Amino acid sequence: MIRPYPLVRTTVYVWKPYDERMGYGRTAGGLPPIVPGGRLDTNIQNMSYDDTGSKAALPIVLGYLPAAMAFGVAAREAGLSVAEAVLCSLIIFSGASQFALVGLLGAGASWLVALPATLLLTVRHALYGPVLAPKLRGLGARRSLAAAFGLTDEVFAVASAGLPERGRFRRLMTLEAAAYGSWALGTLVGASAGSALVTVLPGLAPVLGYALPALFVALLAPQLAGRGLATRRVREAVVVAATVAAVLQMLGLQQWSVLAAAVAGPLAVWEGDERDG
Amino acid sequence: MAEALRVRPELLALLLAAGLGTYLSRWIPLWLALRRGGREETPEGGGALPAALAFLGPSVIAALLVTSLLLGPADLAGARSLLPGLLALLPTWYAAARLRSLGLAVLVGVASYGLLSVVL
Repeated sequence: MIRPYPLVRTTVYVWKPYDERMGYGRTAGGLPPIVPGGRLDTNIQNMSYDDTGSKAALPIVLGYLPAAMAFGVAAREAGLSVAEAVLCSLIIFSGASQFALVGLLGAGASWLVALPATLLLTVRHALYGPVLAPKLRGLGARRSLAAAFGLTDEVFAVASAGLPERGRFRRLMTLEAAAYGSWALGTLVGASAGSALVTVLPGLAPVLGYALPALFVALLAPQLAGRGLATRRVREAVVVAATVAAVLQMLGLQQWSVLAAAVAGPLAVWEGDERDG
Repeated sequence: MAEALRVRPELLALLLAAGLGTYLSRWIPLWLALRRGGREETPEGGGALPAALAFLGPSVIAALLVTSLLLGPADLAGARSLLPGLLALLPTWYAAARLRSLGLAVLVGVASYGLLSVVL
């Protein structure tokens, strides 16, 4: 599994020491340098892996299955048929929104209440476009229409951590297609089998589900490794973001946790005198 | 069987509306940012926002990590203890930092979690 080429690239991108005086180059964590008054090249990809796309598809597929199965069960409990549950996953393709929707419908809310509440949860997606745009530079209108459909939290996380130089769009679409397929299949299984699943797979589902936290850790680790000003600031942002998310989660406001953390993290390390040269 | 395939028109309309809203919330910002991309190359363009965006990715991933740990996918087997999930972070982190392989790190994480949830 170890090929010489990715090893070389990893060496160049991850282990090359960062010279802060020079004001350019890559940090040890693979992030673009951010020096007050210096140049920030947003074209530099935060790549710490050779490419995350193909390898990261499997954790997403594994992680989505139990979540989708759980959604299928929840949708049935809310009174949806199997077909309606699967359609929900196929049309919306957003875990948070779908769970919220069926939760509200199950509690007897009308669509006048359920729809706005569901749409409110989609606001966090607005941040994903600007982050990914530099990595998808040159993507045409039609491709952006395709790429945007499957831009879930997890797909965004993987794509933001790195896409290969060549075939970025294809890799992104592979990722999205795998996620979509897993999500739809899991929903079908959950909606069809329902409570029978709980007795058949008591231990397996949570273990599979850990593929997602493990994926996020694996994506974060290289970005937090190494010395240098930029990496220190990333660590600060990550700690702030994680704390904000945890607090909101514990307060029962989990639907806001990702958005609030996404604002709080960069805000905590923001320095007003940075310019994009 | 017919019951399983039932699709209520009003529910379908709701799903389509929610789906469209979700899709637009993903596409419009992406499209706008892609279009703006050309203009950011000028000396006056950009400013503080692109600098902040470099931290947005890791911040979102950190938030997703926290929510996926504390909440998890809705557990089919019942309440899940936090401890195995938190402890399994350590070998996962180590594998990610040392092995520099995404797949291996996830494998180590899932295996550690499986082991810890049996032991604890």
